[in-house]
Amino acid sequence: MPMSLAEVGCRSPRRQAFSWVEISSGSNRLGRERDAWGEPLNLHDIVRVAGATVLTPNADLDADVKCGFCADLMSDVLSLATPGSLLLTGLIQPQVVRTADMADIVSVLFVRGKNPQPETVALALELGIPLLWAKETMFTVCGRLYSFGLNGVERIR
Amino acid sequence: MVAAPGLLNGSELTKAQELVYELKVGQVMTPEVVCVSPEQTMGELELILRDGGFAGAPVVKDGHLVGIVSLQDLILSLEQGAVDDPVGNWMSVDLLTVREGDSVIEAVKAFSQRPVGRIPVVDVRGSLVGILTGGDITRGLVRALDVGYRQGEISQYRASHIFQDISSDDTSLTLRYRIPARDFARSGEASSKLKRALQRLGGRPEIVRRLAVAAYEAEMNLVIHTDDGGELLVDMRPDRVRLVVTDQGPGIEDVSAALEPGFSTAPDWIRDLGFGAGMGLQNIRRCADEFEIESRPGVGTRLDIVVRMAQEERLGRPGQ
Amino acid sequence: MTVGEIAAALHLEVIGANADLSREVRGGYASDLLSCAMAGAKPGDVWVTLQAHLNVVAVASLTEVAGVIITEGARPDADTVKRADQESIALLGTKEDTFSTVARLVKLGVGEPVSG
Repeated sequence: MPMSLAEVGCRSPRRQAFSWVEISSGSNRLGRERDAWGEPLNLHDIVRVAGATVLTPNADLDADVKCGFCADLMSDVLSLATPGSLLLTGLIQPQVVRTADMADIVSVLFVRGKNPQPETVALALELGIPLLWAKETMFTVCGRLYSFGLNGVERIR
Repeated sequence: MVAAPGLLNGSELTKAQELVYELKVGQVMTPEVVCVSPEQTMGELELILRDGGFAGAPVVKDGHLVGIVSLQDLILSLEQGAVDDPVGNWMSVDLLTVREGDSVIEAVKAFSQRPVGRIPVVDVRGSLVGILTGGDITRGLVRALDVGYRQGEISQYRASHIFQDISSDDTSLTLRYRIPARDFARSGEASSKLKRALQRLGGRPEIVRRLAVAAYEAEMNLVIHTDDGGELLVDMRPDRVRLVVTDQGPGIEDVSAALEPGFSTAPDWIRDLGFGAGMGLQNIRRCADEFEIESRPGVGTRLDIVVRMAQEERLGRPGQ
Repeated sequence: MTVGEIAAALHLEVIGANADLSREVRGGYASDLLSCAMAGAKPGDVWVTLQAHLNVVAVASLTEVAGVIITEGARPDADTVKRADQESIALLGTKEDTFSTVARLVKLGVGEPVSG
């Protein structure tokens, strides 16, 4: 019988990385180890680790995520978030997507289970910005992503 | 739009060449591989290859890659009536592998060195993570070119040549955007348009981002605070872009207070939209090389923002 | 873990003269929207926010959070500090952004275990 990779014990690298999280015991060592491994996180990883739902059909989830940024104030995003950041926010208006476009944010993850307005999703589809959704709080999602190896923005000042 | 494979012109060929270096094997390989074990028989292998339409398969024992067996190996074994022989007797163990983190050019070199149709892909620990064929590489390149095109229809309709084509002592391009007050559904559209325009003119990403952020904050100020909206005037030259943002009121009472971080006159509902935190003018100033603000209560406000480009950042520079 | 222990471990600046640093921290909440914090922050949470205005103290008092960490070096004004002192609310300042602050709290063990 043909055997798939999983059956013979080979795992795809992504799946392997994820299993590390499941077996980790609660320190941030994991994140550091993953960093040392040198593979950037992508949106597939974010979706899996955050337990997120993808709101924009056919979104390109192969995009690398350089770091994470939490904010409910758009000026904060425009001022501090660096290109390639993932934005975690509780705001759901179209302006969030506009802000993401201006600041070269790779994707917006809505937290606290808030459903974005249809206009928000429509604008995201138009501008090609993947939208993700998680029901947990910003604190919880941020903690999970950090524990998986996602870092905050590099501070320049 | 969609790249037409086989119709690559000169610049697309260059892009494909770049991609051969940029793309990683892990991005183009087939990750779900049908493996066989060395204990399985050549007869079983025949069924696997036939049913799956494969021309070969990696041989894996205890999670480790131990060999690769091809259709050719199978034919040889069948010729000798060795249907019940274990795969381990017929597989090649002299293995050529590539790492998932290698760039595709490494794989291209490997294929040119040896007459193989597929190369197993391993991770840093030497575990099999996928398989790579010439077809995978071609498909990966076409896909990447396609994505590149979607990102930059921009590059297809690039307008940067206008600064070279049109000759004068001092050429500039002026764009005007009118911003209505309190139209939150459309606010930000002008800044998005400006961003696309700057990209099409060949602006460097960091320069484009600074101008887009400054324009967006200014646009939001017009939407939130003005009585009748205002105007965003963009004057572009190859070496600098100037944004002049004007409105006819109500004007700012105390300009120096308005420039203090955290100072805001925005009502709570604006704050709940994520704006009005008293950071906007700060942000604009941070993005600008030159920044001036004039305001008179009852008359209006005028922002003058300049972003300069160094020689290598100039708009419409040749050879982009 | 108490608010004071967290302040010490993360090198947070204790703002004001009458902060109650003995409150036990049971979880964390992050938001820059007061309405969200009103709805979502639970008693005993440490609230992470960029906001530094007077209403933050009111919300902190109403939700009975254990303390407020104000990020990105934002400074509450004198009225806000005075009000916080009246209510014994611990306002803690950091230059870090919210993501990094939450990350450091999680590393200290605030919130759900990271394996979740």
